[in-house]
Amino acid sequence: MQISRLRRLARDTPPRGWGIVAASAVRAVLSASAFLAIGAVVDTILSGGDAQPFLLVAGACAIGAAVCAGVESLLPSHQQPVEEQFWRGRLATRMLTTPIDGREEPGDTVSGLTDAVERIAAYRSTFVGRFLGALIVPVAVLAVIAVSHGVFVSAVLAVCIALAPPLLGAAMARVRRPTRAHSAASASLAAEFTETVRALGTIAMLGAGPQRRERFARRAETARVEVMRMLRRNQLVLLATDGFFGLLVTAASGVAAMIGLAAGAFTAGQALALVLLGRLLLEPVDHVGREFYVGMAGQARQDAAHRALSTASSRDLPSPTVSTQASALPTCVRLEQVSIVRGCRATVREVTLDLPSRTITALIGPSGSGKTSLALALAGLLPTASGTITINGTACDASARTAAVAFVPQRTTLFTGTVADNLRLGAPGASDDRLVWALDCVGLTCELSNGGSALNRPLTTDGATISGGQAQRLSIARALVCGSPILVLDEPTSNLDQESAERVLRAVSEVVQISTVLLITHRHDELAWADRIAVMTDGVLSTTTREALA
Amino acid sequence: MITRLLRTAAPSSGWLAASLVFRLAGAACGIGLIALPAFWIMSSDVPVRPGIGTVATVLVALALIKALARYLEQYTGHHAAFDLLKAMRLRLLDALLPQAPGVVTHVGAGRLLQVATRDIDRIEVFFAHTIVPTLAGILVPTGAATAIVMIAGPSALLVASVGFLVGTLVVPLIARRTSSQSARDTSRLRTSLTQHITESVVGLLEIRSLRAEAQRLDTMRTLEGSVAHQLRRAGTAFASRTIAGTLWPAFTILGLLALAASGVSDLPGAVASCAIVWAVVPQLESIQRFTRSLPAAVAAAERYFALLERRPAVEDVESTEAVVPAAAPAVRLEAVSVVFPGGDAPVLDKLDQVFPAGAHTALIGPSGAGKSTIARLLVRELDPEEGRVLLGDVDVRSIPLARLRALVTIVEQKATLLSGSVFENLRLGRPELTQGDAWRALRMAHLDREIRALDEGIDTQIGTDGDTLSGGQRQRLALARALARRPRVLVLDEATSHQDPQTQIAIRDAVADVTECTVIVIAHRSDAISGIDNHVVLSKPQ
Repeated sequence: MQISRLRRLARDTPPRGWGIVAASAVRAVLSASAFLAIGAVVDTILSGGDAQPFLLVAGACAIGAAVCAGVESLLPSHQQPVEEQFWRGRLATRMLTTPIDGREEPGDTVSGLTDAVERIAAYRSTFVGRFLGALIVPVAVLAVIAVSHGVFVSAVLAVCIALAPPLLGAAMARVRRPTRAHSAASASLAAEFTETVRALGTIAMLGAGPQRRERFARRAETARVEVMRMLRRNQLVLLATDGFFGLLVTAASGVAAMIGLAAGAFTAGQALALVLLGRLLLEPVDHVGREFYVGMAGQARQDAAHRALSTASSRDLPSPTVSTQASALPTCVRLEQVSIVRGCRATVREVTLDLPSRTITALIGPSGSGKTSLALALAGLLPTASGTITINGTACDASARTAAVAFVPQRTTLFTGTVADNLRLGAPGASDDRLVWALDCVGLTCELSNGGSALNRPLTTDGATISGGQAQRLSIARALVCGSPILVLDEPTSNLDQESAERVLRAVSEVVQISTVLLITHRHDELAWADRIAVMTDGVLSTTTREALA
Repeated sequence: MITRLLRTAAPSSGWLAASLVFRLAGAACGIGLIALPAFWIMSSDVPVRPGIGTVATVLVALALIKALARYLEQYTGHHAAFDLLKAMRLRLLDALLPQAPGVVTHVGAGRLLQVATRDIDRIEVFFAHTIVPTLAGILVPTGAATAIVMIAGPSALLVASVGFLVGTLVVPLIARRTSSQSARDTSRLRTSLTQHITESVVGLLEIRSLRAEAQRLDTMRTLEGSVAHQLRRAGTAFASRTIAGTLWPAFTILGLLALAASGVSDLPGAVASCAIVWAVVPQLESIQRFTRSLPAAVAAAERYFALLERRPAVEDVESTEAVVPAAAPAVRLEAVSVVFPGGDAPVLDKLDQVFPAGAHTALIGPSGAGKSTIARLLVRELDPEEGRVLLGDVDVRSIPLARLRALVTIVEQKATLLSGSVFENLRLGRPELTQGDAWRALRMAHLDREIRALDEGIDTQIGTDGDTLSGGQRQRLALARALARRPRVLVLDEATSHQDPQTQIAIRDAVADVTECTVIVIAHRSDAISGIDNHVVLSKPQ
């Protein structure tokens, strides 16, 4: 273990972690004292004296040691949530404030905020303290031995223990690569099995069941032979550590005790205490060995989190919209010479477009032509590379646009909770009346009431309780509750059947009486609902009429 | 349940037994390493005390045997684990394949995966890493108690037994209700937290558009606060158990010494007993682990067995006397009714319908009208409550399942591909497919040019679920896979509804060229089926 690594661990140790270290040291001293007292008991009995005082001392030391052990197990449970809240809070804030482009896979983000955060917290709250504590314990025990049995014995045992880390490190380094190969082989086998179960329906329909089963059985057998071959070698490290520590520490303390006793240097009690103390010296191997790789994985996650956080621009969270007015004021939007660059590709080039107040403007074009980019930029969710966007004649930056524009994506997300909870997203203080008004606008009040109040109806993310079209209209209602005067809808009907799609569009045509709407679609039959039509091709815009398209 | 659980381990019981033997041997050596020197020290007056050379030799030998036993214990334990994992996975596959695809819809893909991964792992861990240490945790103290009665007499045995019983039975029970309750609550709260975070990630655009960031963070913090409370509760319970677990060996040892001090036991025997108790302590920790993991293992085993015992939704037939329908048969539904379990209204109500032989027919209607159910009836994912489904003149129930599913192929809304090469995916369920036939199928699916342009052509690896291909390519590969089987009936179930217009057109054109089988195209929008003359419109049963 290099010094720099230790320093790193010390840096990652929170105050409660040092509490664990201190409790470990005190526990080691108290346990060692208890054994010395036991030795004294034996000597007193041999010399025919009254052993009771020493028994009491041993008992007191044991109780003290137990309390220390209790403190060591209590502290991590108090630190763990503190660390989790700290790391998750910062990572979640980053997720909510960084640009939407260049983000990682949603699954990775979720596991980064759950699993990774738990591991980082476990590393910092449990592992570092225990690890440093385990290093302190033998030092404390050796110090006690030096006082009670003399410096020489203590030094001999110290040399044995000091030899351990380099030898152990060398053995671990030799074994690490095969260990990784071993877990890779097991993981790929597990992945194949998972894939087979996941695709079970398709496999059965294609009649590929026997074929897949055979293949899996064959691969499992190959992997087994391979893994066992690797294990035979890997586990030699156990042989090394066990034999080594057993030999050097337990056997050495036993032999030292016998020699000291024969030479008359120790009393029988002292010799016995030395034998028992030998096992206390084994603590680092017993505890740390098991947790080492798990702890180090937490450290790696912490480094990754640090890197992610250091690239984030520190931005404050925007404050939620506070709007109580029933309907927004007439609002017109003008995009002038707007270009948008995503990655290194210009997805929208010098687009000029007017959205007059209380009209529906349809935006059509093939996929990949820049429609969604334009919509996101208008909603303030993407920056513009050049050009200006003005709302009612005032040039607006991204955050001002976010405040004025509500964006309804292709696939609405429903949040676990009631309909009311979902409607209050972005407007936590909205009154029930306002929610009902918004549901009325999109024609959902009756459809969702189903015997009870529509507002209290529970929803789940997978939307199993309401249809896709209803979810889409709920999303529009949510935008209305926020009071955003401009509504941008990104292909809201592409996943819906004809009937549901029509209801959504009818809701849009209601809403346009109080809002300005940009509707992206790739279905020409929906253009009938629009007042104006714009066509996007390869990032360039042209306006047209229904007749020209027909 | 416990006996069934134990029977699961039968294939690896030999290795488990070996692992136990080595663990016991290791434990015995560990005890000897401490107890023998203690005994020798105390027998200083007696002539049995050996010389330093003998002491060193015996101790070194014990240390080496202990290391070797640990090595063999781990090796045999891993061997048992691997055998068990393999046996359980294969058993699950064997049980699930006859039930598929119905079992996926009924049990749910998520729950199925949970059993296949987490539950099986949990059972494996229980046997490979819990059962042996637990048995050792019972046998070692028993052996130790026997040794103690021999060297120190019955009163020492009494003290040591009380200690061991407290250590094995009382300590694990301390604050157990609090522990298990807070473990349950923590896991429930963590699930909600993950759910909340997942929704925040998925709904990020809406959250940011509506400026609900702070609101979402607040809710997250509230959930975190509840998790924190439960973690602290569990910590307190754990700490009290730790204190008790540290105290019982200390007081057992002091009790043994008190016996010697009062002259009830002789000193060397009492001291050796103390050393034995001190050496046995680590073995008992495994019993705590056992009581912790048993409920989870039993719950996992219950779910695993429930899947093994499920009855398939449809019965397969052995006989092959049914006349296999002629090329491109008509598909007929005769007074077919289907009610889903739990649903009160029928999905299909006495439906009569004919899809003409060799023709292309579009099946349209709103979601929930039972379009996909018709597709599922054709491959007998389920059977109708009433009525018959016929291929030509043959009831599908009289055709063996494997044969039926070779005759009828469905291309689903979202293609399921397996990792491997393009060719391997095409050969799925048809291992005898030649390269030539594979290319022919790719050509029919209008995919051949794009596959040829790939670096390794038809041998290109397509990644997990085909994620190196575009959505449109995946869908056309699924179509090619279906065509490579040369089915008599081809069903496209919303196969284009999530595709961009270009892909829709490409697939529509590819399907239009298919002439050798009866084709049914299911869609919820009429524009997906332009170019098809026969239309069947399904409406929701009232």
